[in-house]
Amino acid sequence: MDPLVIVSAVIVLALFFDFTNGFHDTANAMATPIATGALKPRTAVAIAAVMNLAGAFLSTAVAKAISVDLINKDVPLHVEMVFAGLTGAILWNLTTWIFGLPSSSSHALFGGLIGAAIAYSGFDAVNTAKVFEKVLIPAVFAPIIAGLAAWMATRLAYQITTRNSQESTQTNVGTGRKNFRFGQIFSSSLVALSHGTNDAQKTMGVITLVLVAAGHQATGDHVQTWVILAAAIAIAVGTYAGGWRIIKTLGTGLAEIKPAQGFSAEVSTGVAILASSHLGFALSTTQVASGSVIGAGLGRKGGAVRWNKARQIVLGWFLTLPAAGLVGALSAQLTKTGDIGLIIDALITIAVIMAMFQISRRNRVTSKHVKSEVEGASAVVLSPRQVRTAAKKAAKNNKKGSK
Amino acid sequence: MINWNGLVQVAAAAIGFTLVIVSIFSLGLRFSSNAQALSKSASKGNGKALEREALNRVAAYFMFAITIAVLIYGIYLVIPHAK
Repeated sequence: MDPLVIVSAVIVLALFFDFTNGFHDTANAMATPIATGALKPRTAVAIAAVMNLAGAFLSTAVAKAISVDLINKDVPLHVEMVFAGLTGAILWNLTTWIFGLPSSSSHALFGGLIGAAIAYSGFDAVNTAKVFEKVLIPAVFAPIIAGLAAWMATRLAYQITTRNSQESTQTNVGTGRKNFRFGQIFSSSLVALSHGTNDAQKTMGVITLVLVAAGHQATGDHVQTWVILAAAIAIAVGTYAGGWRIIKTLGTGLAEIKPAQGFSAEVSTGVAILASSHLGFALSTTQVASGSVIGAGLGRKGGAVRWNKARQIVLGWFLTLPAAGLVGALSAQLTKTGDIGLIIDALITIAVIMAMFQISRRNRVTSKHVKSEVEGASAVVLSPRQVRTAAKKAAKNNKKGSK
Repeated sequence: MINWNGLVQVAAAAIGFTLVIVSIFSLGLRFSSNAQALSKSASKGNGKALEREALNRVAAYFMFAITIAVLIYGIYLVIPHAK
């Protein structure tokens, strides 16, 4: 097959992955401001799209650092290998989306590429040390750092705004905590911006990888302007499209988040991602956002953790890399057989993508599956009210038991 | 080798900036609710309360302005500059 055809196909796939990434992650930025009423859903989605677009242009530190490093330098780069890796990433990303499993788009991408590389060149192809450094260590620390920051910030926010309750009733002036909603307009924009700087970069990294592999670009140390432009537009369009789904499905999941908590969580998410993409230390936005929401939930007095929910989320995180790797490896087995295998692989991917969208449309209104990841994370924390209700229930049951 | 230094830097920057931004914005809200609480006696002609209300209001706006400035500075840090 004409190499140009394969290169084009890979670029289209990479941009489609970028689209699903935006689609998948809108909620990370916009679920909390919509839940607290800081932003109207339509406005929130529009801001998220514009900020993602802008963010993609801001920094290319991550694009240079990613993808290339995970695969050993002496392994020959096949364009077909990148193709297989991308199909693995896309299929896993859409599967988790349909089932409402929390998963990181970045990990899906890394997993797919690593799986495909193993299928082509064996386990030696993977730079294990780099996988540890760039993927696994950040995966452990990202939610902890973001959670800690959000937890402390929420505590501080509550402490600073607490008013003497006696005086409050006299003057009829409250804490003004509702006004954190105005802050949320900025903080949620910051999250969307940081998402663009971090996640669009990964697509740029992959396209650059392919251009180098096919000999269209000498080295991978810079990103071409049209690549930046295309990746920015793809993630913005994906964000906008994904937003509509979230508006339709965002139910009661986040109702217990107060503006002060939302603001703290968003600032922590945005700052952590910006800091990491500035230093070329790639963190997963999903994990950072989930950690922040949990931290902010616990920062308010009387919150509690649902450990079984937390375990479920962590399990999903651990699963993503190997699962996307498996799909990437299977897909690579197909593309290895030659042009026909490549075409079959492409057809299977397209068929699965269409089926997924069909399923999601059918279930749009009734399904509990299609949920945002942040909603999932917020379910980990029991709010003070939920704790009280649970305590009352337990007391009632106890009475019944003693009778 | 794992880049622990980078990790510590990211952690320190993330936690530090988050706490600074959230505290300053919270202080802004605090000052503005202080001002609100004082406005009643100020409107009754209490000169001292009027002065304190104005001070609190200025402090509040100052805090909001710093929040925005810190945000812009953070974004400025992220944008790569030609050296």
